[in-house]
Amino acid sequence: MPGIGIPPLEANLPPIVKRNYGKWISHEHPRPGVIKHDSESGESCFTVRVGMPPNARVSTQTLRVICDLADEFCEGYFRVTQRNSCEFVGVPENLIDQLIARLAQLGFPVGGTNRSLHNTVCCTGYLHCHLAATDPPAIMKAVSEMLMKEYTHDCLPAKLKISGSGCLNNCGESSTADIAIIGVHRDLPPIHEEKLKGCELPLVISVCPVGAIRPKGPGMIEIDPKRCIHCPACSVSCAAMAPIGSPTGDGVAIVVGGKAGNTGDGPAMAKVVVPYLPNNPPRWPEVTHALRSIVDAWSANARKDERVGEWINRIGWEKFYQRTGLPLSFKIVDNYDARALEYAKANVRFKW
Amino acid sequence: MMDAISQGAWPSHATELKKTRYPLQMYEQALQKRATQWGYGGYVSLPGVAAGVLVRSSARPDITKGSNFVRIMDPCGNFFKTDGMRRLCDIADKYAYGLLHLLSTGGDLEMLGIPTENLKPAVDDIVHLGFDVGSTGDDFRTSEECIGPAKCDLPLYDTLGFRAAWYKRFLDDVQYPRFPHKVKCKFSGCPNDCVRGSQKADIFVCGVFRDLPLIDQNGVRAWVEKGGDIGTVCSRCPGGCLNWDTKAGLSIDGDSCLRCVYCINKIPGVRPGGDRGVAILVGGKLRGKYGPMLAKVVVPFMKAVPPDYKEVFDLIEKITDVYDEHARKKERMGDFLLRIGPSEFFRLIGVPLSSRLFAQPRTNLFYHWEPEEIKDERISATEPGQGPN
Amino acid sequence: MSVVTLAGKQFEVDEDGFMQDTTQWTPDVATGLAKSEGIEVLTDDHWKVINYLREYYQKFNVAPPIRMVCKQTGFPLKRIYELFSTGPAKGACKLAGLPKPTGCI
Repeated sequence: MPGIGIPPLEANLPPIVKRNYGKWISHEHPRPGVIKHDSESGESCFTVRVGMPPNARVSTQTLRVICDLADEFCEGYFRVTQRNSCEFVGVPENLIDQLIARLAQLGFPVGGTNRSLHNTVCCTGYLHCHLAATDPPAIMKAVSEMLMKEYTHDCLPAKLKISGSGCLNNCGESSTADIAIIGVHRDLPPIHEEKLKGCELPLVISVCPVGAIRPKGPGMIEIDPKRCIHCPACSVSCAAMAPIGSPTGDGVAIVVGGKAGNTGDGPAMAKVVVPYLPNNPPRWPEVTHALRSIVDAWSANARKDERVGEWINRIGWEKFYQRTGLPLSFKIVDNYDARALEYAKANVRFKW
Repeated sequence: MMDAISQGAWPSHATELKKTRYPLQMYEQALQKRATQWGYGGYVSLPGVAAGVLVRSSARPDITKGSNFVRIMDPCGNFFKTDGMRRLCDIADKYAYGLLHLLSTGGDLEMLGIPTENLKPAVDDIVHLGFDVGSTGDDFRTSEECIGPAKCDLPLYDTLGFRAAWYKRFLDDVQYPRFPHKVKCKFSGCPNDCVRGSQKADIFVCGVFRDLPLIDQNGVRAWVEKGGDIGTVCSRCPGGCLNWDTKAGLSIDGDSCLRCVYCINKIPGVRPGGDRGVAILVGGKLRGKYGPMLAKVVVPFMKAVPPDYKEVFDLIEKITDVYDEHARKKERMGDFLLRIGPSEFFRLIGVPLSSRLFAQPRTNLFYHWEPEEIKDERISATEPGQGPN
Repeated sequence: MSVVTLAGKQFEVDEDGFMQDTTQWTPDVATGLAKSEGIEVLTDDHWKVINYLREYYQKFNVAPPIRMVCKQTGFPLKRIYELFSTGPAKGACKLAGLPKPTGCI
């Protein structure tokens, strides 16, 4: 029976972490994929960071391989980072080369530290979700492949985080990332009348952000097709209004400039720069091409330690579209919520 | 198409799927048809387990009947001991697809593809192993913390200890849903916010300090002499308050310092000040009714006192009580905050007034007074022109 | 979709045992579905919760917030979870013939 809570704090901490808990005083990046933490005790802890399959989706077979490596190189412990990398913590300095060579043999890339591409984060997409308008794991695989050099070398102006969500529910936390893709629907949700009896209609009506769902006689509802923003809130709340989407309707939007930390310009949510690109599995060339152009423009023009959003804040959206060559669309400005006019420009400080 | 996705140097999820009992045609067909083959998800009845198990139904019963999965709450710092992980793998092999979602973006470990008859023994084995399930439905979801004192030189409070204590106090609310919607709590040790709490968390506890960064001039000088890029750090300081002088060393203009920890990130020898505590922010979310929203400050500074962090946890309880009492069904904390407005929210929580609660005063000139707020506020009727200091 | 026979009457239920047409609910439905929720016998306390859920649902067409269930029945949350171990939003709603709780996110 559940009710025991998480394992005790110390149960899963490696010995070197227990010895130096709270005593770390500085860190450095001796080489890509390796972080060195120095403790006030004089001890140093080396961490080797490894890229994982998209969506941190691993077979038990692969996990057992990771466990074997952790047993061999760092006393039987590893950890998973907030960006789904796998970290071998407390690798003896003289064994780092050996571990990296073994990882290379097994097909695990080492990198994702300091000013590089960090491991991608995404939702499950087509793997295990009924709302997905696209398949972020496959897109993240294609993107990671394309940016392999940026992952394994410290060659970018600042860290770069790329995420992907399959729909506007944003489970892949797209809005938090420097650059992200997000699946978009363009069709109206269906209304399967025979299933409506199993739905809480007042709830379905209230979750719609734009009031596009209205009652239509007892036990029946209708959708205002002009107002619908295809957000799947109703599809989430009511089985009679799912699934939403179609092969030609569904696609991918691109958002940029999200960031959590308080350095630079502070926390920000990502902004939509491309409202729609088609789904084109297995490699999504239209999407990867757009991402490439953003990464290239940013890395060629940004100052050191300037994240994507901060670079855009400095150069402005005119220059962003000019440098990336991305197509413009009226859909990048909001038209429906209370904040709509915030997205329009209220000064004439133009860049030409 | 899965074969194409398996190729290349980056590890592939498609390759991983092939090593498990995952119904490969569900994914292959989705890619070919450009449409997911899964169906509606949600409820699965497992008496005795109120949260932690979910079902994903199948829209293709010809391929698979559907897939139950469990959410296992991650251990502190997301560290795993290999023997424990191997035994989790054994459970996944015995009862499920043999496929793990190592870390969901919510902070759980998910085990997929458990047939209904295996759910009970799988959950029993997981709990027997010392892990617990929960974090589904309208309750506290798994809390997440940054790596903190375990492997970072910056944390301003013990994020791992804080999370362990949080579970002691709030475990029931993680496993027995009762709120209007889900509530996510995230704990970052410093303003770098590595758990992205300001974007994702309904309640975000962030380590902060009030005095200035401490400078060890010798340490800074040694770093600069080794080639440290002091020029970039000074020019990128968001407050524009850093000055480097080869003779006098590094100085900080206290009036402009934002305590953003950028200099501390970059320069060995600069350390956070000693007057440390936590800030509490609420309402961060990536979706909800009105879309992505950053969390807003409700308490700019309070002490986080181990071992039971009573003051902070009491405030978290107060926030959820207010939310539970006043929010509508399926209304996230951020949407609730937007609907009732920040000043009403502050009043309900009972937080003290502070200039640090506001990004900027209003430009809208229309505001409301209650009759009892109207009184003669002249300091003295006999000395015209004498205002307060 | 399947059909179950409870007290001699047939009802359409979905794969999790939730009634498809909630207007057909009778107390026999609750009695008949109790076993699937691990409940041997429905006590007065069970009925108090079920009846409140029905009453609220018939009035507003949505399941009540859990806070209201506690308030109106006078049971603390713990007691409600003792009565319905999968929870008021799940097991209790199923027995009371309310719609299945929504979504997974």
